[in-house]
Amino acid sequence: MTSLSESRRRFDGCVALVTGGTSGIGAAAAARFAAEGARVLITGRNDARGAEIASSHDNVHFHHVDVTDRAAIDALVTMIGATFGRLDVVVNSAGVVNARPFASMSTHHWHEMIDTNLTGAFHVSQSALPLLRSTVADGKAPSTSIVNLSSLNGLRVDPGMSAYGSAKAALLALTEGTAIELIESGVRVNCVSPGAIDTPMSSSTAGDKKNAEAFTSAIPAGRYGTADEVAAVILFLASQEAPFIVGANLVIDGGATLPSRHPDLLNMFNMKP
Amino acid sequence: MTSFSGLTVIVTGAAGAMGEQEARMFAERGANVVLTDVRTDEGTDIADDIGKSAVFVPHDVSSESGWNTVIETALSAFGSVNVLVNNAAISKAIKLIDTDVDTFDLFYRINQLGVYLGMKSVVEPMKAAGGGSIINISSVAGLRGASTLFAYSASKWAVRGMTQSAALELARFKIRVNAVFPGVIDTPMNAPNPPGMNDVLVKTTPLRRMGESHEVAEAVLFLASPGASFATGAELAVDGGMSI
Repeated sequence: MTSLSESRRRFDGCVALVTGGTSGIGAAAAARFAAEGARVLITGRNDARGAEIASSHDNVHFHHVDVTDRAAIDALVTMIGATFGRLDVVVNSAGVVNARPFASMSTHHWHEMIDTNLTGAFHVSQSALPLLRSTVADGKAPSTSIVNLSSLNGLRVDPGMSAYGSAKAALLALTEGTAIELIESGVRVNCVSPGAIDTPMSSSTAGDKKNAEAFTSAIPAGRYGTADEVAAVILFLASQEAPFIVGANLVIDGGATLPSRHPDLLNMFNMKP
Repeated sequence: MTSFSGLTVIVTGAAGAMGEQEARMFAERGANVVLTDVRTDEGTDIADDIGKSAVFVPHDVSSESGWNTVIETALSAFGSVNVLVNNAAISKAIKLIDTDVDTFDLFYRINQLGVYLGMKSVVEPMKAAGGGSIINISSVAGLRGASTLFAYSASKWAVRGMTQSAALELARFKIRVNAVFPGVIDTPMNAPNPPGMNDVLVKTTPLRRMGESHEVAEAVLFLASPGASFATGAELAVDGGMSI
């Protein structure tokens, strides 16, 4: 089979903003955008990691921005407009996840999940919109693109994930609502919903080894995905290879959202993964 | 550019606009392609035009013995089967109350039975190859109801369901099964639609245009590529926002 790293330059001359670009899927996407010719701005709250990622790739620049801080986002977008005069891609990958039982969930936890995972995407998309639109209107790109990162938990919610899942399900609704409103100005909005991906964020919820094995056995593909496998999908949707794809949600989960795979059932039919 | 060098791709309905485009783009990116269709003259011409990396097999997708011939041809010509695109389908605007049993059965045989037979046929050769990728072409009418495409819509929902079940069953063999849901694509398949219908379909597409065959083909090629290595059972609408 061919290698996952492809020597293409689909984003030559483009500018991409990746929120939550300091780790996991966001960092992998930033690296791929840069490798394919884009100038990339990553945001995050961890200065050390941001500096490390920016220094290990040409054309990746880190800005300390919390996506819940609208003024900081607006300032960043203004800077992008002044510096580059265009914005081709926004990837809303900033996210936080913590498991909490619903019965004892604090209001603080609820807001933490909704504010970063959902409201952050609202802020960034709305703030960036004029620049995304003018990039098309000025003839710099045939279309520009927003890619939202939802989650398997936006489709089928695991125990403990009612707040996180609520935010991620709402992000799907935000994707559809914005997709249908923004396409007339040439801004395509799509969504990627990753399942279990091997990132710092997923290992924080998978917990101990036994728990991780249980997670893996629930994935038909029999393994966790990699951040780079999700990044490849983000780049496809953002590229000019996907001009007719609008409001789509692409689930990248090794089949984990598919129903009815209780291990006992699979054993009955000699179908162990 | 993603390279499919050394891989063998079967595309059904390859004499139609979308199938032809898929076969040509896979070939351009290095794959060997097996084109199948009931339209022998057109299919042969396309395969001849692609060149040595293409063979055409006259093939009715609803025939189980026909599938045996396709697989045998692929293996003897190119030595493996790595990707199957179940693209062949028929479409006609008919309401439920005007659909007779023979018509419904014809949609079932080509659009549903054909996809099932295709998936079943490639399992062993894909296992032998250490894995593979199946892309089933459904439709927006397989995601939503369709007021004037009753039998077609039923068959395309079946494709969606078969994709999910097959993805679960075949994941352990490293065979990925995904589906693409095209919206209104500018192909001759839309030509027989009643006057004005295509204009209405464009009006109900947020992007306000028909899609092009190559735009669907890019999605198919992506799902077949290493970039989609963790995608199975996934559903990708290529519809200009029509299914929102």
